[in-house]
Amino acid sequence: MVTTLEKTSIRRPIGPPPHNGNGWWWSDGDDPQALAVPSWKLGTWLGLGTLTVLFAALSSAYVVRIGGERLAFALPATVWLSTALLVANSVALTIAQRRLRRKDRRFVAWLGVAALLSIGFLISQVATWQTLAAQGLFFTSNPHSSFFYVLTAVHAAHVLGGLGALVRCVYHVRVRSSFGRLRRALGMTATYWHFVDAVWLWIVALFLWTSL
Amino acid sequence: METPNIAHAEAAVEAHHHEPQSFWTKYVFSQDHKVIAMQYMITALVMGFIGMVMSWLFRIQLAWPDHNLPFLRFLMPTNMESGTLQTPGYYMLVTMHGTIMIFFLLTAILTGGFGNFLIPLQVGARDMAFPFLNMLSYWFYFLSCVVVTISLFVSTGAASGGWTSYPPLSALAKATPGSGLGQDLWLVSIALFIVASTMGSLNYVTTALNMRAKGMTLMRMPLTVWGIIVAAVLGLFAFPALFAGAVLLLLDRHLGTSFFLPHLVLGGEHIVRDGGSPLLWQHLFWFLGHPEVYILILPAMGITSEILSNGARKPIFGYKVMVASLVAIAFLSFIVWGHHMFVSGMNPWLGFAFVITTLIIAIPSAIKTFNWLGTLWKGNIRFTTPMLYAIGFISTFVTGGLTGLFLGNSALDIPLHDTYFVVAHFHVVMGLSSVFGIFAGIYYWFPKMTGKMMSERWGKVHFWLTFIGSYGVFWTMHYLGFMGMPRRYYSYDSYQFLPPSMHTLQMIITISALIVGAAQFIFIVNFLGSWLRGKKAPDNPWQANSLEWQAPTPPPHGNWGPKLPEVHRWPYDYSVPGASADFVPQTVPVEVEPSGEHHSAAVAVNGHGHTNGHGNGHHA
Ligand code: HEM
Ligand SMILES: [Cu+2]
Repeated sequence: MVTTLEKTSIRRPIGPPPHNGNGWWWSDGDDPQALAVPSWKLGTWLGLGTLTVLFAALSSAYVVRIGGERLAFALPATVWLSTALLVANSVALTIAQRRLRRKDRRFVAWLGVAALLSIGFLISQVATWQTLAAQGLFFTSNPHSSFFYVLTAVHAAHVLGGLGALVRCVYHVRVRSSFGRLRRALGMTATYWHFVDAVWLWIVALFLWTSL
Repeated sequence: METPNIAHAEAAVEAHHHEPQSFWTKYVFSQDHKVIAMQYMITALVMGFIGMVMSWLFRIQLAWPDHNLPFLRFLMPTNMESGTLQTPGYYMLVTMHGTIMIFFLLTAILTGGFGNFLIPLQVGARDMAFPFLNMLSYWFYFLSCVVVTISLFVSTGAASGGWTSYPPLSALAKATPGSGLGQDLWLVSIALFIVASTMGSLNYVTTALNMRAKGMTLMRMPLTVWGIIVAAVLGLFAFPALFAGAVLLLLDRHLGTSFFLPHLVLGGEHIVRDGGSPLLWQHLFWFLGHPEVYILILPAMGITSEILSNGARKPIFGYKVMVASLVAIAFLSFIVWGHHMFVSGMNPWLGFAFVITTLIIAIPSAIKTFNWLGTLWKGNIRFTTPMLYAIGFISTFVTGGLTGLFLGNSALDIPLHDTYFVVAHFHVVMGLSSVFGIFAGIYYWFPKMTGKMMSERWGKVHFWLTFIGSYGVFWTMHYLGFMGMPRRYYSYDSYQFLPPSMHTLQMIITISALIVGAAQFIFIVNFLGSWLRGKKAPDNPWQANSLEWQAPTPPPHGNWGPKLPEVHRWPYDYSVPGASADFVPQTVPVEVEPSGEHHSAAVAVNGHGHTNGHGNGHHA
């Protein structure tokens, strides 16, 4: 995205973004009227709002569809492994952000840790699905298993997206993007990941609740 | 943090030198909001044209069931071989007509077209907050249009379960021909459309909130911007429900799940599904569907407000209330979706709750109508084409809103549901109102977009034919509804309860529809002809106040040259007492610092009668 901007439009001033973090179009003396939140944050939050509705729609479809029927199978133990991995992932990203704020180069290592944790999560998810399949619980077996596969698969797709975001951060490091841009990229990535991790906790809570 | 500030000054001077130069980056994969706006607008108008031609074909079937028009085969190679429209073709046409009009024409042109063009120009920004995302938004939209167009040509035909795609019809490939590949492509194109719309909406909201020029406070934004961003927020929070529904429906269709499918017998054959609920789809669909209809009306309301104030040469009446009612309507639209399901067997108490929330929407809607009339009241009205369309909008919005009140009462909706009364209601309130808003907007902003004026004379002919013809179509439909004529039937010949006079009404409707259709060619010729060889447009032909009119015509890349505009007042300072002209652009400073309110600003200007006018000298 950065490169395309450089190529096609009015050049973004090479300097740091102005205090509100979104003023690259503005030049000397222009003082745009903006909210206290920089645009990239606003955009990220709005996007997460959209994703919230997506998961809320799927979750409420689940609740409506089962009509009070209890979950018919036990959640595989790997679900807890997955949970631990994603919580750790959020922690790793928080550390990375803190390191970057202190201009500590080692934040990159924490990006690597976050990526490994999320790859571990995906492996653990595959194991979960295999455990269910081994018990004869497939996509079409019953509404619980159907929704379990749908919710976890849609969630896994968002984990893949998060991995892409991590790669983008590393790319920014490699091309030596400015500090401001790095912070923005990492800020966006971390916010997104916290969301994806929270959605996972929500999914687990939902299935625990229906097994009550 | 990193580099010194000198770069900023350079960027300003350099602004004009870094326009994209190649054809591809300038016109095709452009990240300039004005080019993207044009791309959206033209694509949407082409889709709308296709949707309109579809309506002629099924209207002919309804008025003259015995028609034999072999020359129409070039429009419908299948399903019309004998010169008569066949049943499956009829269902495909009504389904695709609704789908194309609602999503690919109205949603796309109002947010993608007007949103893209107007937001940066009216808030005083150089472009969108995320230009790359903006470009992606258009190309996803384009792809969704391609997929939906391809679906018209697959051998089993396009989707034919209605624009609402209710299962089980839409879930079983064997249910109707169109439920095969056509339905899959329908779902895919809608999913792509949702992605496109989401990327666009993120931009519209962020840009309007965060990229306003100096002095452009939220309460000085033109109502168009308010209408569009509130609609964008609706889109962001409503579309994902349909996306979820589309994913589940695709799984039901192909992987054998039972989300929406109960155990069924189809053609003597048992369908091995169990326990799914078709009503679940209806909830997901209408959770989007109702906000969706407001996505189509709120931007049109904004456009209308803007043009009414300009054409009446009066400040908009009750600006803050206008903003508040937009927001109130948007909020309420999330809790009324059940009114589309009164006859689905829902608990009457739940139905009652939906009746209440639905009828409450009438309050902010009535407030808006009152304010539009208040704006016109004793105005020095200029009946230009945009103004005629804006007034037409009020007319259709009131007519359709009133029939909404009938339908919003579940006791009345039970007999009226799925009759032509509903078809009449939503075409008048949504179809006509948004289309009138769009035409008002096109005639109004065409000069800024292209640098040319459209012909006023032909614009007026277009308006009157469209206005009278549309009422001919949809007013008449209400009577069919009262007769109990159900919607979505191919042929009405074998129903005892429908009197023969029904046929007369059907013919009136179809003839009116063909007249309206013919009138659109006047528009097309006017649009293209004016663009190619129209009169050159001045910077501010309507003597308007909002920022876009203070930009060069057509605005260059980056919109404002080296210096951004600075805003000193709201956009509705028309006929300010004591001012030398009857309009005061937003960029004109108020010399005496007002105590905050717009109205006190006007008074301050009045008290020092000499202060105005100089800022807009070049418009005189
Ligand atoms: C006071 C305002 C309104 C009320 C009380 C109202 C009420 C209703 C009700 C109860 C129905 C369901 C009828 C049925 O299927 O039996 C309906 C249908 C519909 N309304 Fe409205 N409405 C209002 C305004 C609007 C507006 C402003 C729009 C669009 C901009 C709109 C668009 C539609 C559409 C598209 C449908 C039909 C969808 C379909 O079945 O295909 N309505 N309205
Ligand atoms: Cu509705």
